Amino acid sequence: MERDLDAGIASHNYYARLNQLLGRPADAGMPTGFEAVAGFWQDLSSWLDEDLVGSRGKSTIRPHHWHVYVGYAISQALLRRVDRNRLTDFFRSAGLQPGDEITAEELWALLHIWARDGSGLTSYGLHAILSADDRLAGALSEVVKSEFDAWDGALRDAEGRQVATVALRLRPQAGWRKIELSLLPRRPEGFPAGAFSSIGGRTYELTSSKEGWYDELDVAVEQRLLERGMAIRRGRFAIQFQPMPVMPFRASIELGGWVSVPRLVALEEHCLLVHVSKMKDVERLLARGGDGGHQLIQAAGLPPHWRVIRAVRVTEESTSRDPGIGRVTPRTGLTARLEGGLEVAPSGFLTEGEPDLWVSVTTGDNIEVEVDEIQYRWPETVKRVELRKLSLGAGDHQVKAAGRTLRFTSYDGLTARTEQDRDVLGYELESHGTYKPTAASAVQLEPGSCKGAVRIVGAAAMGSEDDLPLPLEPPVLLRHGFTSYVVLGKTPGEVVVTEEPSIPPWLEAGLSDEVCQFFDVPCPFEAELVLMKSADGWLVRAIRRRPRAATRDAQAPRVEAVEAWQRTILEADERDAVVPPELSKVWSTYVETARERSA
Amino acid sequence: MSRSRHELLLEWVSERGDGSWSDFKRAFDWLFARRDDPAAHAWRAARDLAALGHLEIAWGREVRWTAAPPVLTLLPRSGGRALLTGARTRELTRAAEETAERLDLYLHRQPQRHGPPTMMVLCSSHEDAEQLALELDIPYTYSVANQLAAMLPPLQSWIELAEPRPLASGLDIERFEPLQLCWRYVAEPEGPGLYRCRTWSGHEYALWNAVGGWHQVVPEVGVYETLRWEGVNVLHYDQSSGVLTMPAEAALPPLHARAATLASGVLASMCRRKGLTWTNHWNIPASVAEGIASSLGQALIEGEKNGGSGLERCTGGDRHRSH
Repeated sequence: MERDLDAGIASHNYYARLNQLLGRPADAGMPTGFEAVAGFWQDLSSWLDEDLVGSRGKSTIRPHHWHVYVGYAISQALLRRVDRNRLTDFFRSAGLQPGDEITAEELWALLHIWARDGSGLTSYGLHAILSADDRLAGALSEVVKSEFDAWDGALRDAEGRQVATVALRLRPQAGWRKIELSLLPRRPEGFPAGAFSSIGGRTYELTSSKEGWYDELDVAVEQRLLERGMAIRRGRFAIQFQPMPVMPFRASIELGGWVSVPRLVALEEHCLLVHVSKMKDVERLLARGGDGGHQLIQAAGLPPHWRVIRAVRVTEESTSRDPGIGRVTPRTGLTARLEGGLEVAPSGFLTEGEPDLWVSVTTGDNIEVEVDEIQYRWPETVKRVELRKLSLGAGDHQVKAAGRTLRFTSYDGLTARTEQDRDVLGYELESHGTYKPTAASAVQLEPGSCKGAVRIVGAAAMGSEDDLPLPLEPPVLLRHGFTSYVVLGKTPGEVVVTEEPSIPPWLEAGLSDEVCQFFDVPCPFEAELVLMKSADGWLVRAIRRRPRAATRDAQAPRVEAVEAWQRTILEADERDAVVPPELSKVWSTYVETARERSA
Repeated sequence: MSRSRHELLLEWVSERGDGSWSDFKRAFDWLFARRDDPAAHAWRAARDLAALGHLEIAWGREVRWTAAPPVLTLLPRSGGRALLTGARTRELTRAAEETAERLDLYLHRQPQRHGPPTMMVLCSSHEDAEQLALELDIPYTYSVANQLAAMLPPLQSWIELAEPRPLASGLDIERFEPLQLCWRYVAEPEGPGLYRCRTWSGHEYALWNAVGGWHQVVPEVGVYETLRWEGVNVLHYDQSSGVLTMPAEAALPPLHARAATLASGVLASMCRRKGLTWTNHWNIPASVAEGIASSLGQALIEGEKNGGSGLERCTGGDRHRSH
């Protein structure tokens, strides 16, 4: 049923039309027994979806919350088939994918923005959408939703032909000094290979060697093609290249180049093919919302009046009502969604790493957001709200925006960690005198240790003592401020004599503001005590927390070292070295040993 | 307390524990808008975190990463500083702060421009560091840099593991010029050398050896192998300052870079001199410098870097440096 604007019959005034057909007075209301019709619709729907398993198309029949009996019929007539066919174009323009979770209200808000002259809708369809009152809008939004739910991702032209789009592939060569452009038609399921023809009668033989794609079209990508596009047909299938003055491209490994996409995605790297007439607009837009890293390329191989901008990454909200450059505005997708963030668990983020909230509303509205019951309002239609800047703190959070309620949790770190299920990457080196890697880079390490091999994971080296390099003795830390130092081990001959060094350049070079109180001295033995000499005399200090007594056996073969050990101790003793009370007993063993040996 | 973005990235890596490259890149891209730092790249951040011992990354066809276990290591020539490296979860950081305070040790955060702040504990004895590690239930070691340097395998053993596979065909290729330390576009391979091409997922590097065989290599390993072929030494070492310097185009392979970086816990710095960009690693003990050089088939050039190592400067229009 279609509504009659001239007769003043609204599309949802079902019974007036029905009664006319049945020869009853237009205002006679619902015919007797009409209740059963709802069951017919339900049967039809179930036959399409369940008995035929969608083989003849999925049902778009939906009940209506208000029009319990006639809602089924209204749902099939609020928009003509020609306009319904155009909705596939709308879904694509809105950046939607089959299966996306989106409510009827959100779809309606997006459709309201998209439905303009030039969108391909009939004047009837356009009027129906733009002038719908609340009740009609509710019914229409359900129709759009059911079309979206049934959408397989394919486009349809106004004649109902299934349409596949043609991607433009951009291949940079010689470090972007040369650009090669080609056309790659998509091949949705069911699209045939073989001859397609243009309206002008030219025939194109389409072959396909990659699933989902036809092979490159044998067409030169010239200025005329970029500005006018092309369409070829075969039966109920059509293939169209719809040109735009600004086309974003994303890298595709599968297709070996940069491939045109319907719309730029925030934060992803793109390059743009831009007609010179739009260059200033695009540059303005990128200056506002880009990351500043884009580069205009002077490349050979481009048609006249076209330019390429590479390294385009949009990080901030930027909008343009100019349909020509609308593709450069980031796809805000649904009306409110969370994006990014430092996710550490499903819907769980680190504090200070909460995701951004992207909100878009219809023109004329302000953005209103409620975060944990605090209201925010911005006079914009598209907005990125950086939730991490709201100091939300750890705990559950609730965000209300554009009719949606979104929930997530912030964690100030995770307390429970399960290491067992986690992969461990690292280096494995076989130990055969020298070390030999088992792989060219870090690899997944199997649990358990392996004899004859060591593993390096970060700063941790693991393996048996036999396989690891000999450990170094830790250095002795000495306090700055003395002229000379003698480090003593418990065995005669274990002695290191040093002077106060200058502060290491790397610590002095502004890497640390802290005063260096200590310096370290490599020591080849286990140090027990240090004698520190200054103008005021000698001081004895402990190196170990509990220094051990001196032993009488000299293990060091170097006679000079043994003599140095004895001489220093005796000199310190003669000069009344200051010994803290807790060290006096230990120190006396050193003095006695030194005296015995010198005797 | 407001954290720097590099610190947040490290915390996220530590809390997550592991992930794919796209996980890492997504987190990085969200944290870093290139407007702030045009040089910011996810791969660079991952490489630096690996050099600092915070994470391990497997650069295979399917790139994966895992957080490395936390380790406390006393740094040589540091005046008693112990570096906390590996995974730094918030729980561990809180525990380190509390324990250090209880043990009367000063925990110091040193900000870094291109990396997370270095977390060091000032000790008066190596026993302080041991005690702290014991209470935090994490491994302790003295001078990880020395330990790693002593285990660095010889260059040839890395080359032997290179996958025999040519570069992807049909793409522009570049050749590494070891005498000039730059990459040059070539129409086709010009004999033995290191070549690369840019695919849509990144650069591929392959060595063409003397018998015409192709082997895909880790780029830094390939660079040092060609330097070895030509007898070019690029590692400068000044023992008095402890600075190990090399041209940025001859950056150290990942494990070597980790040994060098963990000598100070500070990322290498870059400077321009005589038309080349140089990378400086700090506080390198002689044993570490020698271990790195010997593993890479290099002879250390003594003294400060001066760019006068016999390298020719790139001048051709189609020659460029990039890494």
